[in-house]
Amino acid sequence: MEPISIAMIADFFHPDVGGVEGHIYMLSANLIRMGHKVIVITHSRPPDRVGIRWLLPGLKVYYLPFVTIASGATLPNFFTFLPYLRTILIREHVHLIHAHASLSSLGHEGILHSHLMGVRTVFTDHSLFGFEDAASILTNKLLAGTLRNVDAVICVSHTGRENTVLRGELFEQSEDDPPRLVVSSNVYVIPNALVSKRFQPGLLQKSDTITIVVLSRLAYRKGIDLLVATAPRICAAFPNIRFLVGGDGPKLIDLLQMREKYLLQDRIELLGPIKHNDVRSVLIRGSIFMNTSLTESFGIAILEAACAGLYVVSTRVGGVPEILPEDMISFADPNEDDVFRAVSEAISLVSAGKHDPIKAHERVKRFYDWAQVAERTERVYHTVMKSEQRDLWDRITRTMRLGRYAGPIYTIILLVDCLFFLFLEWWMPREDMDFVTHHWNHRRFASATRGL
Amino acid sequence: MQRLRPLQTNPEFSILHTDSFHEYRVENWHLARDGSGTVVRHASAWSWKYSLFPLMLSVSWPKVFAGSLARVLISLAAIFFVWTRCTQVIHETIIVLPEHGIQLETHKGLPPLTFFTNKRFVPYTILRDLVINEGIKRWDVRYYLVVLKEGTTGRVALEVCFPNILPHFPILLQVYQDLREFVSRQVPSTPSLPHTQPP
Repeated sequence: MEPISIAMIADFFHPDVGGVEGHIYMLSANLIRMGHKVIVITHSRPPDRVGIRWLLPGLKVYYLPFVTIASGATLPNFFTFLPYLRTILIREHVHLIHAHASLSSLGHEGILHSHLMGVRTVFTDHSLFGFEDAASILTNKLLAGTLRNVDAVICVSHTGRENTVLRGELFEQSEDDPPRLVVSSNVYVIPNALVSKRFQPGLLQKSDTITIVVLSRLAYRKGIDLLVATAPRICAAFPNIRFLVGGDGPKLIDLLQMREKYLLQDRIELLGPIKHNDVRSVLIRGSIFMNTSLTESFGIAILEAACAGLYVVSTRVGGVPEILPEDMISFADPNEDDVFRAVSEAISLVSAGKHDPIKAHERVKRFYDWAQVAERTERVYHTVMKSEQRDLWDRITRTMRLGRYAGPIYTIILLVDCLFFLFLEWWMPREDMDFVTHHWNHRRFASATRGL
Repeated sequence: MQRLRPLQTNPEFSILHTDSFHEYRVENWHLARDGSGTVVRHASAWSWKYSLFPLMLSVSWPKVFAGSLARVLISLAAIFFVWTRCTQVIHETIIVLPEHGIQLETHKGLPPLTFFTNKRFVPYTILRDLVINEGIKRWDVRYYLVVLKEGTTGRVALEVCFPNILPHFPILLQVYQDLREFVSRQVPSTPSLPHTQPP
């Protein structure tokens, strides 16, 4: 495929650490290695992470001045991003934007505005969401409005794909008689990956104590309540078990209280927040990894643990059953008794020595690879670039079909967007922009530094 | 000692080389970028539109009660108008004094007369580096050339070159390439890498 210019748009990017951030960075790095030009657009973290910065290996990041409301996400406004986006997409000669994460309003806005500049759009959904509560109903409708006219959607697991298709209404009436609902052909599944070199198993140590490692954000979604309920039972039933809990969050209090109540200070060690570089050194201290999430679309933490040679116990939710073979993971339903059963099974397996960390690492190494993810994503980009752009009337009719109230609302937003764009074309003409003619050229840098 | 205009697309940029100094000047106008070749001036001498103001002043002044607030406001408006007309940026320059340092100047006034100049001198002992970076200015993203100064306390400060005009990238690249020679010659701590040439 010919090299194109890609803009990744997400609220979630470095210096914040997380799955989405790591995914965007690794994907961008691999796309740059394949010859494309990639820039990232995100919001600023005042006072010092503002403006335009560069990251290795030649990734330009725009930190735009938007105020965040909660955990790194900006307020969903529909027009304030257009002036910045227009300037950036035009001056960088961008062909395609790739928006990440349903909770990122910058990403949603990017998809809604890009067609005005003739730029194609791709959306990646990283998480699973529910359908029942009021917040979900509203945010799902917002997602449906955004994804109505997107060119391609990528999900990280098949379960995630089902979830996104249902939430975002990515289905159409087929022309058969009687008409059925058919999923749009532009929804793809490309899993996450990990850098397996960073998660080598540690040296084998023969000891009687078996350490169970739990590393996650201590939040409700991650099922910390299940951990709080089952940890005392496990400690009582198996005297040679120790827990190692890393991470921070609102549920830390519950863990501390449980530890006090059952006097397990010597059995449960709390490590506090762990930097991503130190995750491997924490993982190799244990032989079992426990994940009690109530919802998980991919489960990269599970994959990292399996790569480091740990045996995994996890709740059977979301996309978790898709990521590892049956003999490397024990599943449990998200209730106390079943989690206890699964952990007991894992402990007996590991005590009997039936799990080989080195062999497990060798297997996981071959499953996931960032170069493959980038190659598959490039194929999606290629399909999008070859397809035809929808024209404005098509977009308006599709948007009107969103719903009795959502349809007209989103259509009004679309039309006001077009008017705002016309105003910007007059107020800040394209020819007066400071175009980017020089981008990071790694070959020139290598040749320039070769003499030193 | 002739003033050169090295860039075809940006004739507002001129260079002057003499024995004792080198001057890089950017004037406050540019060619219209739609290819028509018309000159777009950002600093104008007296135009017919300005004559409307004394007309309005002479009509409204006697109509308003003497000593009232309205007269005060009208006079303030008149002073403000004269001040804005007399502080238009005419040109901005970088003067390189070999052996001494770099001087950044801004000349303001009523074209073609200069009334005010703002000069900032950066001696070579303090000058650390020269960088072109991009920055967000309201809704726009512009390239800017900046001189890094490091004082005796070790604190690094920035001095933006051409801060009012903010010329486009081709001019900045030309100035950067020329200035790097002076900077690398005088400041022994900066390693001299080969120039970046356009690909």
